Amino acid sequence: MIPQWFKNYFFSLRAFYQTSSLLLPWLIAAFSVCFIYGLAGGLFLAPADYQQGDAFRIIYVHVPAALTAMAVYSIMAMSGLMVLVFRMKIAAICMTCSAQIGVWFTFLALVTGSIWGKPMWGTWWIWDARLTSVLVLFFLYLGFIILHSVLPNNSGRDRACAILAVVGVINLPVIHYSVIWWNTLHQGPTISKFARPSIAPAMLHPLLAMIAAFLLFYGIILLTRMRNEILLREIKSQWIKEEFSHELA
Amino acid sequence: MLNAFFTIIKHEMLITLRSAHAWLIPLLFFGMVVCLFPLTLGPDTDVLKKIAPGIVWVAAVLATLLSIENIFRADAEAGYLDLLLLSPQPLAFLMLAKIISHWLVYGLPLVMLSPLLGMVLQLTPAASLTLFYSLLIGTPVLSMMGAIGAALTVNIRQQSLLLPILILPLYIPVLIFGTNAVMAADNNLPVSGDLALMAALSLASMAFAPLFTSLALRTGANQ
Amino acid sequence: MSEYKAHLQVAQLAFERNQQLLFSNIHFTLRAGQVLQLRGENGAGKSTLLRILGAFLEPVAGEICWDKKSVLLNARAYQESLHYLGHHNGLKANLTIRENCELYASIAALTGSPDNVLQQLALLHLADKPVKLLSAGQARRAALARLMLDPRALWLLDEPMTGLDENGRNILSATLLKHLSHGGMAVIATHYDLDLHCDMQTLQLGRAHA
Repeated sequence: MIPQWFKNYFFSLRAFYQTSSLLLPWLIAAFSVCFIYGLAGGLFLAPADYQQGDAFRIIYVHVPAALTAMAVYSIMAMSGLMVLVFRMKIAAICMTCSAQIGVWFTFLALVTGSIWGKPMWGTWWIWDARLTSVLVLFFLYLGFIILHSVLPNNSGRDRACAILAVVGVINLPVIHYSVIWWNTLHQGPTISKFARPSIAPAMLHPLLAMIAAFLLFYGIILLTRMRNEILLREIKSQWIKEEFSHELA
Repeated sequence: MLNAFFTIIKHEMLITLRSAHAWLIPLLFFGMVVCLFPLTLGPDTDVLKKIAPGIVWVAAVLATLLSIENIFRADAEAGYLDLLLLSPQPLAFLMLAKIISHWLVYGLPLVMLSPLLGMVLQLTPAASLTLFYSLLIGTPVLSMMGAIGAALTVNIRQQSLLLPILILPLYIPVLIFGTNAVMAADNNLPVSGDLALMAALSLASMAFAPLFTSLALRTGANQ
Repeated sequence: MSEYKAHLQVAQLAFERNQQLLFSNIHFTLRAGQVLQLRGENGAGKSTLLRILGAFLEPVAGEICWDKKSVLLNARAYQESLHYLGHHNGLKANLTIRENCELYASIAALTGSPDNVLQQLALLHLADKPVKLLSAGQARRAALARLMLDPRALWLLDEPMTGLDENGRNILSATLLKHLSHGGMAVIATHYDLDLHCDMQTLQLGRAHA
């Protein structure tokens, strides 16, 4: 199912370290392009919204943050599945690092959602379906991180956290839809401002660029953290000495 | 295999019945927490009626979390858990027996007390009955998911609130459907939809939770 | 004649605790009728090694093979062939000895009454007493019941003599020798030399290990 060349480049700790060294500059370049375009487009070039004025511009941070938070959780859960089924160390490292990054994206989504809410509804928090779902995602991330830090450091820890991640991802759609349903029951038919309105291309393109930028940023930070973790784990091994021999010499 | 199932249930219940206070404590906690709310919010009937489903359900969740924390702890300390891991029977099946017996001892009393608490909180008899049904169908989910958390944290020494932190987000669907059923009953709306959804959650959790619980126990994370 | 065909092979086993190496380079092979004695100071890792051998814990490095198959990949089948007796007895305190035996019999899919075994353990008169009311030595003896009720090839015993009086020790030795004569094998962690007439290896854990 997974092509052999992919496995060769990514699946062993050493291969991953070397492949990521090559990938990082490209990711940083792509991120810079997307981010600059997204920021410029979102803050300056896109016209002010008819209803919300300039306040809507916060979606250029809020929506990418929320989407990235959810994407990261999915990646975390998939890595967890690979830990459980294939016992891969690299998957365990990916899972743990993703959690540490994802929690910040979730926090950012919550804070920006809260800031957006103030001009919209006059309150700092609104119990609408999307924000509540992001809040639940935040708790799931925190639970994972706390479990990881409480358990002693052995191979069982990775498997236990993987189980938590997989159980979480299975429950996430159930929680999400039950929250949506709860929201419609209690709020009546008011259409949330977060719902998908038809959006002008001038507004949409910077948004897509920002989403790409956030995902690339996640990729960059993930690779960097994974490389750190690999170094920590493999510090005594031969290939690390070879890798840094030119610096030690 | 079926023999093991019923023997485990029978012996687990024997143990609990011999230490009578064990199952009484979560039940009393449940009752007391519910009674705190009229004391803090005032005896106004309309207010109590409105918040009753939420209070009873949240109190049931808290009481379940209290009791589920220890489902595996005594066994792990006694070395009995190892015997289950070494058994030729599928561990998930043994876990199902264990969780069901736990629910029979700790969950069912909560369910039985709930109509009384409903009346105390000024719910109509119809709503109280729906409260009973919603807890009857929903508390097994609480026990099942809680067992996964208990298995993940079984040997962690500090008695912290780690298990509730891990498991509470997973309880949200049951809470939403359960309380909504009671509120619908209070407004003379049909409740079958909510109860059916909860039954689906219940059955799904009975199918999957024992598997995850046994997987968690086999990780050896806590030694 | 041996009833058990498989044998245990351990190679290059290592384990870390808190980033510190607890033991490494553990090698041994155990065949039918053999006993491995684990010696070492407190904290040397005897109990941990036994738990690794019981496939409750995973080693950091190395391999365990049972019946020429890797244990890591096939832990379930391996675990069905072993008994583990740790520091704790594996008995439920609020149940009587007889109820504990019933519970174990149902978990291990055994048939038959435990009375014969309880008679051999000199516990028949205590069979209906809750375990929490037994003395430490009586409880330890009761823990031996499952070893005798359920025939399994490999016994992993962690300081089994703890708390046993002379009578108890004799019963344990007799049971062990009977198990070995049927082709069983055992790994026993102990503080002092086991006085057994059998094919015995010794593995010393600690600063100078085998």
